[in-house]
Amino acid sequence: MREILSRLDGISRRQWLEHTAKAALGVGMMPLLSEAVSAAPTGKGRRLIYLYMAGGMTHLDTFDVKPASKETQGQTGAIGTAVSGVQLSEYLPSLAKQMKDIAVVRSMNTQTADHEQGEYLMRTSYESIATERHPSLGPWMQKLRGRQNKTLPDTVLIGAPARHPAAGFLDPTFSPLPIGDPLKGLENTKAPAYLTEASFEKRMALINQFDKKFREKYPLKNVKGYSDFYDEATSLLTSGELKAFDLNEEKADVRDRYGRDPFGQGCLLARRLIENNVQCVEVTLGGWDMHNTLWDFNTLPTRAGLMDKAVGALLADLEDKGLLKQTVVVLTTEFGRSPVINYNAGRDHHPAAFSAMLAGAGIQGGQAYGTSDKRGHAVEQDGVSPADLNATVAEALGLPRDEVVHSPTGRPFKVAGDGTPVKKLLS
Amino acid sequence: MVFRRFRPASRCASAALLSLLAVCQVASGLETATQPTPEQAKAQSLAKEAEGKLAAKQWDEAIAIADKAIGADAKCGAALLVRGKALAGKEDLAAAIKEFDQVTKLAGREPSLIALRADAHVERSKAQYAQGKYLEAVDSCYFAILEKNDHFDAHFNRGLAYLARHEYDKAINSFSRASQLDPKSAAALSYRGFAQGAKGNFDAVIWDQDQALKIDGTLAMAYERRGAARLAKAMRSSKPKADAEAAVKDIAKALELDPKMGEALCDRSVIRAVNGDLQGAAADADAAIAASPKLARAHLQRGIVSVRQKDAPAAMKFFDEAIKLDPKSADAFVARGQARLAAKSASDYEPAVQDFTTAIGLDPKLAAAYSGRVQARRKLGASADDLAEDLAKVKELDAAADKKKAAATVEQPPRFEVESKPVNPSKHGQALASAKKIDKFIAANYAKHDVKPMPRTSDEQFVRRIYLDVVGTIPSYKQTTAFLASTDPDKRTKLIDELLNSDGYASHFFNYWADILRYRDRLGEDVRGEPWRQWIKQSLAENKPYDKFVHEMLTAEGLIWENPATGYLQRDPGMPLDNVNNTIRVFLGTRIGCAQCHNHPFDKWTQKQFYEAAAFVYPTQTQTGGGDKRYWKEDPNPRLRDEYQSIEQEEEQRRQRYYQFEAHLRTNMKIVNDNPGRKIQLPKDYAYSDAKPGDVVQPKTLFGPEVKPRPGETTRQVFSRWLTSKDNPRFALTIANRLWKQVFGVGQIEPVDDMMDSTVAENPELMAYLESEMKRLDFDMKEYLRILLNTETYQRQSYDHEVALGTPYHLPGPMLRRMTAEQAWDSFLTLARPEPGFQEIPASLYKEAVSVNLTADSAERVLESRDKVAALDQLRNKAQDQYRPKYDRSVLLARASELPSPVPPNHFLRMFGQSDRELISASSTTGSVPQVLFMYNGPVTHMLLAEGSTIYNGIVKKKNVGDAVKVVFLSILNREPDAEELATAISQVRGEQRAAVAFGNVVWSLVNTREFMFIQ
Repeated sequence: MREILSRLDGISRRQWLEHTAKAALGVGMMPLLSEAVSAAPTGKGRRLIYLYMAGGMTHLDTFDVKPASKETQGQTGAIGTAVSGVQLSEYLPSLAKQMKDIAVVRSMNTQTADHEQGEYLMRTSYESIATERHPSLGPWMQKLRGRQNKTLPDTVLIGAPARHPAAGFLDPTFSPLPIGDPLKGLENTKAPAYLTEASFEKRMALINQFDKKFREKYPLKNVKGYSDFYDEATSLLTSGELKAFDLNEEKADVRDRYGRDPFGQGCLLARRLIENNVQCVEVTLGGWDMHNTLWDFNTLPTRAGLMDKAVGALLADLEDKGLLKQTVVVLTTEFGRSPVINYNAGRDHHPAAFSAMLAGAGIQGGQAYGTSDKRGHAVEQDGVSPADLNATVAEALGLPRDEVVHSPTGRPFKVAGDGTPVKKLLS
Repeated sequence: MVFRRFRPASRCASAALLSLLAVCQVASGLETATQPTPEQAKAQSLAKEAEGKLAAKQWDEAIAIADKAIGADAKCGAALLVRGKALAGKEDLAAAIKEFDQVTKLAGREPSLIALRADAHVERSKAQYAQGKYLEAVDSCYFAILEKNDHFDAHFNRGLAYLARHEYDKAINSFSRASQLDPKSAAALSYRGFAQGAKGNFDAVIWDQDQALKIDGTLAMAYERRGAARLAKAMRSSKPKADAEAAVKDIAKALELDPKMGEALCDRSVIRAVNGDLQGAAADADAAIAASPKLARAHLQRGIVSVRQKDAPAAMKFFDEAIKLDPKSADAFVARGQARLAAKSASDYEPAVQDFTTAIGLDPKLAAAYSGRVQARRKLGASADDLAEDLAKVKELDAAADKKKAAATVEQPPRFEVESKPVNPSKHGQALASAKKIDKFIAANYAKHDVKPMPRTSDEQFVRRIYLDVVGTIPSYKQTTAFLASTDPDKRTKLIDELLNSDGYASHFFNYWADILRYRDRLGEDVRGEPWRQWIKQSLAENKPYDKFVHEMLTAEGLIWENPATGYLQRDPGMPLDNVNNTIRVFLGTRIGCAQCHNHPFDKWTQKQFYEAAAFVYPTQTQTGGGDKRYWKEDPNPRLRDEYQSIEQEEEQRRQRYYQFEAHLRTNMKIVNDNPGRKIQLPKDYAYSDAKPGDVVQPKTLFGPEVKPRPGETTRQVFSRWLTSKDNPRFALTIANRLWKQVFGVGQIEPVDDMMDSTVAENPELMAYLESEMKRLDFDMKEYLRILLNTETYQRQSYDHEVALGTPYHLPGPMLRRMTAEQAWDSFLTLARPEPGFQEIPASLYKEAVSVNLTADSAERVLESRDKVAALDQLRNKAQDQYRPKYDRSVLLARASELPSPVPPNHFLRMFGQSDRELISASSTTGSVPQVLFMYNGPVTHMLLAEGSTIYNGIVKKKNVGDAVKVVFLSILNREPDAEELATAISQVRGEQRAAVAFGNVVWSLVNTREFMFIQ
């Protein structure tokens, strides 16, 4: 077996397997596991909402305020929270109120001040190299747990950049579904106006009629496999599940609560999707790369305001619907920002200390874990690496962290690399 | 003239402008964090007292008290600020600025101190404005904003300073920001409107003044500005009545509120002059001068009235005064020049010429100045030749004005096009002979393995497949029918040559190589890929021998725009180990990557061997530093940075552009070079017994004959010579097998890039022959493909049986394949457009723009170069905009090889499996649900049915529904419908009048068939 595998090493092997998997298994390729088999161990999360603050979220003006150090703090004020002794920035009033559910990590750190490298490390637990591409958490969940959803994709990325590691070296069928604009939802689900035949069945019949000869001539499984995707797409379009993507199904006041910006609506869409059994939803909020005029109304106050409003609404909503106890919510970024206010009244990249946030299933809320020094410059205690954070998330999700998956180049990888879960963050 | 008068307040009017400003609040809370000392407390209370005097404009008293306060506490910011303001009140601006400077230098982060510093910056800005130092005034406001971004006065005053600098867009932004901070400020809105007027947006002026007047109905300047804007509209309108009447009312209202408002008096003077009331006009202009003696416009207007009154000497005096007050008014010089001409005195002509010349210097686009100069010179006896230049200029400016009016025809930007080299007709016979030989090898295998070959393709099947395989798209309706109609027995082989000769070949094979080479438009930080992209395309088009193609990439040196082949190395900047791993995989079909960290688990490679191979390319670097003496005698960076700091520009811009400036310097230092001093060492954790960690490793080839370095060769050149040699056992083999797979869908060796010593081809004799052919042809890729495409095996139908896992494929025909993402996209484009759509702009333009001489060029020149690159990007975006259809602006109609790389994840290409260009050959042809949704409802089918699409045009040309249905089938599936299909289609079409809609269901259904997506 090893010999066959080694002979087929590489991407080509992957393509070959795709082809033969389809040949062997027919449709869907990934065996559809029943809920009973796939259910996470008790007390663990089954879903993941991953909120990514792109550009390097300033820790000093969000989750790790330093009111005693005026030189560092600039114009940001600190406020008390529902947990005594824990302060957050004045720009996070909603999260401050919900602090009992939240665990803040103030001792995140990496070595890289480069956006792309930092993002990659955070999303995959591995450093980016030219010869390998590592999967992000959603596809890992699918790989380790199996596919959960018959019609909807298992991972959805909302507003993610083109360079998102996505399924990495895993089979392309693990590829997340990208959604650019949450308001548009799942694109291409409305029939074009020029079609006179409104009935789906009739249009499908027309395709099948024109395609008859070809399919008779080529009764091959890769052709058949393609036809199965047509069936799946058709059942998605005709089933009610498509509504999961439609924010118009929500009441106006609910939509207002999340904020009518793409991130707020993206968070609302994330909630709708996990309600519909999607395993992992990642929502990206850009604009954190605040080198200039950080305290200008349009910079930090706006950005932090959007984040606070949306995440606050999301946590409250999940709680109300009883979903928070089965969903892990993570908020993170590639690095923090410097305690030194630069000459453009902004802050530059700072990987030596930054913050992340956890909430939901398996997470011990109401705490601030780890500390940075009094200026927020370096980690003082309990440093947490991106791999450690991901390992903590994996643990909260009950994923087998030690399970090794080989990439097509034969290299071994694990869901959170060599990360160690932080016990104190876990309930 | 009305438009031109919307100039910002002149320097002289600035005092009046400033008096309109909201009075700047003195910092309120002066308390410091710590308890003040008695001296500090005393100073503060004195400072408060001094402020009272300030309010009463008792400047000297204020200064006296402030002096006392400063005596008690030399660092009392409040007192220093008061003293500065009092000095400014006394118009001792230089002294005032010194005081403000002192305040801004007080250190500390207490909120009250921050506010005080911000105020001092703003006060300094006002003083600088009064001095006419507008750039400095802008900067002072910027510093205030850095201290306190919500400082209304800072934004407002910056807006005024921008106005004075004629930077209207920035002024509009500043006033908008001010208005955002204080929505009740009528002044902010009124000034924003004023800036809009300077841009000629008269409706915006009116809207802003309306808003201002809603807040403050007694704001005289808002009426005046609204009136002036209406007047401007009236003078440009064919139906001026309503606007003119409203303008008269507005100006009357302004004067009712402020009878001595110079601007309004000037406006009324203009109106009266237009109405022929010269006496009234003169009186108004006189009143304006009396009210605002320093308002240049009033003198200019009075002079114009004098001209109309035929009082030339008086006019001259007024114009002289106007010019004295505003020496940069081109209008005033033109007016004076015209007055001199009108005087008809010989001694006036020469000064008239001078006036016009000055005006041209101030505004080179002022047609009146050129025509005035022509007249004056004529009077001086100039010849027609002498005048020709000016006359041409007048004509040009008139034409430009006309062109602007005609909304300007869209200019076609330059596009990059390859120059394709045809295959050699004289080699045709040999190609056919070689093809026959291949068929024999395959037939022998049929017999050996008892394989029944597939029947020959029909012409319909062939024409579709050959287009897709060689130029990456289905053939058009025309191309299909022309081929089908031809009775030439050699039509297939002729078409093969024709397609290999066409530009489409480079486009299709670029997609293939871009996937393998991981091509991206951004190769690394600060290095753009477009030159490399175009080099790859051109290399393919001109059929550069494959060994040369590879050798040029592996040995390239220099900057990417000087030597685009360096793109290959720039793709892995600073990662020589990864690069060598990729090189050996891509070009030698061998994986040594595992041996980077440990001996290879499946293959024979040891970690040491990996390092020995890497040692060849390890000295290669993808950038240089300023201290690299090979390139620069002296580090150019410090000089350029110093120079940058002294370029006259806004401070905000200076700081923000500095990053780009630095990046541009870095870009110009991204020189691929070899540094023989760089030696590779084994890693610290090296664990084998054949060497020690940290040992320096000497270059050694992996297999094949050893290569000896020639004198003067770099190790990289030696490596490339070894790698691309005919003697290398895997170089020719790999490319022969790769191209075989491209043609037949399955390699003789699979996977194509993971060969081992034990690897055996499906048909070893055939593989050996293919390799020898590749060598015989000296790596001529087109000629090699020509042979494969001319085989009988290729002409067979695709295999219609399942090939079980692990069973060898003996080629009864090519494999049935789904189109690649690029083939599908380009096929849609063929159906949608008669021409290929957007094409990238030539990298030669980029080369001209980006390159600077770091030793000789100034910092200003570097910035200019950077701006040129930015302008090119704009040019490209504009060019792309022309190919974005109205129904979906996010779609760019261009072949896959012309689109940005990588495209976003939700683009058609990515959905259908195009690689994100992060890993080698990472594309895929797997199906997915979003793909199907795209086919169902995405913009692509819309592309086909939009009016003017190729297929649409084909349909509407046919009168008969049946014929039109045939066009649809021939366009999409490249075959005619059978009787049953024809009947079904016709019944779909009947009963619908609109052509696109009528055929909508048929077209939609056909592109959604498997027959469309799979290549038979």
